[in-house]
Amino acid sequence: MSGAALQRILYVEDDPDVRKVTGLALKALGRFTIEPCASGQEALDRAAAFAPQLLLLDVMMPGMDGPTTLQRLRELPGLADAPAIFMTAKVQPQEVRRYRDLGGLDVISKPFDPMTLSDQVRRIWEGRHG
Amino acid sequence: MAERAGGMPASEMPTGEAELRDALRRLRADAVQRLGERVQELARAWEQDVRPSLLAGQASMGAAGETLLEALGELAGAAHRLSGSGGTFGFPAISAAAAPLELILLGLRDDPAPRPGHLLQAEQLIAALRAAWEAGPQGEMTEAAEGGAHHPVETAEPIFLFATPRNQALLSAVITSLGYSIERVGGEPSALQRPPGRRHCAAVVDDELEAPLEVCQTLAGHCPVVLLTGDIGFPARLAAARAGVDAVVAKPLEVNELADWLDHFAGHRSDPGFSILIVDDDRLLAETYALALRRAGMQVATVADPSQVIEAIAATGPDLILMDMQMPETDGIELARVIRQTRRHLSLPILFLSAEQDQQRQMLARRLGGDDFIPKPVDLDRLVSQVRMRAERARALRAVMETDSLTGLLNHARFKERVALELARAERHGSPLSLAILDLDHFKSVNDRFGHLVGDRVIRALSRALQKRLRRTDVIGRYGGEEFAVLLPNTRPEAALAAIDGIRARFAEAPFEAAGGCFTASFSAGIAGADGGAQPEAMISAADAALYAAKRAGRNRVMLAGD
Repeated sequence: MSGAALQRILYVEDDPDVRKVTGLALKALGRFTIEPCASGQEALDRAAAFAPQLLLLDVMMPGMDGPTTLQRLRELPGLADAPAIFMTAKVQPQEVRRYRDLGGLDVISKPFDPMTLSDQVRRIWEGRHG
Repeated sequence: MAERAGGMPASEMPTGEAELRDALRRLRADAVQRLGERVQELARAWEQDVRPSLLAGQASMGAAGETLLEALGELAGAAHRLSGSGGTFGFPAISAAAAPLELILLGLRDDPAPRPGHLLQAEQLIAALRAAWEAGPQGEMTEAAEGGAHHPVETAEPIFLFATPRNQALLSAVITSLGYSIERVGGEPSALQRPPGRRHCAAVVDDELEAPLEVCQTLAGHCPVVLLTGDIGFPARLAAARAGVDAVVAKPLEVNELADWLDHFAGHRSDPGFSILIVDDDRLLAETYALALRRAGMQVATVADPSQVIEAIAATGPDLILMDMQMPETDGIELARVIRQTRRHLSLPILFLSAEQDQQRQMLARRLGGDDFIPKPVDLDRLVSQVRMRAERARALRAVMETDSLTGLLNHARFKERVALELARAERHGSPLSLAILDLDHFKSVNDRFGHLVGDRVIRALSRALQKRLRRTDVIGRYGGEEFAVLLPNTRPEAALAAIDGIRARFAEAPFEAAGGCFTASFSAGIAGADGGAQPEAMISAADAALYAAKRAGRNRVMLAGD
């Protein structure tokens, strides 16, 4: 997978409005293929069939939170090493480190600008190889 | 079946760039409108259904009770979603009020007999939520863009430099040599129309520009502003202060002064955040305050049992204590007195949370050690700014008390405390520790030949060299007049020798300019390692002995103890 251009993103966010705007922004401006999910459970149900290259996860969700969702997703076949980006409210450097320890490539802080989100995601994706 | 973005079938997905942006804009506008509807709906449900039922005590009553609990859960869910989306659509204040509101609503649901204090706090937050919606979006996209910009961890932000073309090259060279990157903007007014979009560590403005104070005014509030000026008289300083200037550096350029300010502003940003201790027997309210403070970047610990306060202070080293005034058994005033019994805690600010209206009791509380009052139910916005203001001042004061005024390094007493602390830590972990003591060579003759001001410059230059070249984990102190001391954790004496000797070689080559001519300065150093169970005094005198051996051997060298 290393070196492949980013195309398929599994996106988990519980707020419907944020999900719609972000989903469209990623599709339209980033030309990505997006699988939007409203909950961790929905993500688990769809991940295997969608075969994402990248997981984009809201941290605070009712029921299953982002880090738990990531853990469970990584147990699925083919997703053991799937790179992930967390999205969460304003973060401190030491928290960023914690999310990285949990397996995240990086953290995008909320609120984010939907218009520049695609570039941000692509930068993080490209930066992961060093 | 996967949902389509914006509810649009795939065939109608817009394709052109402009259309896409239009579609996004419409979607955003819809979302903003819905945001308002959701706020109103939440407030209405609270006022018309939930609050009356809570007041009627329905939580414990059969079927009606279950409906109420369900409604509370739904309200909490609505608050949760508002906290997630408010900021994304330009309403960060909605997020700020909705997040603690969710916590309180869940607390009300899980508490069979809701306390009046919780109801009041919920009221307060719902009012804040409404006010946040009515106040309109804050800065729209720019706000979102700033909050969402990707900040790499531990990368110094650039300095924004405004100078005449003639001075640009020189100033750039100076600032770059201090370890900062530069974004340059000439003096043209067109460049000043728009304040910098990116985050900057600070802006440096040269007073040779046309209308330098207007430039400062444009920049003020966006980042700290440093004015370089030939006129440091009082009227000029006052005018600068009025233009929002944070720091004034005299010309001919005081490089050390500029360096200290830039380090100050850069350090200010990467501060780990204030550490706050909340003492409140009401866990739900304590968590609510904690949430608001954490969202503002502070580190918060909470204690419900007043008898654990002293231990909690020792464990967390707070910059400020936030304390409920009315607690069962021990009240806040008594607790403040207990805290003030320890000398180290005399200057620790204590803020009381209180529903107390009695002026006399408030006076009593102030006299016995409280610094301020925050009325309950708490306006969380005000809480955050009051706590930040107090903590900032307390931290600045502590820095003055514990550090050397010329260099900003730890003073002698504090450094010795750290020696004991680091020795104990090294022993616990079985890790090496080295201590270096440095002394400027022939410093008296520098003072005699060039005067004390030049001598001070040499001292600050060495202090800066140590701060720049050593690791963040190394502890640096100004030990005496021209004497410095450095603790290097996890470092064997041989490695410490290599590090300090590298600094020595560079320092000895750097020229100083003075009215009486150009000169160089050097230092000698002695290094001792920690042997198992070493005492601080023994370690210090071993390093001292090595320092004097280095002096005797001809100065400008570093030696190990016992060699």
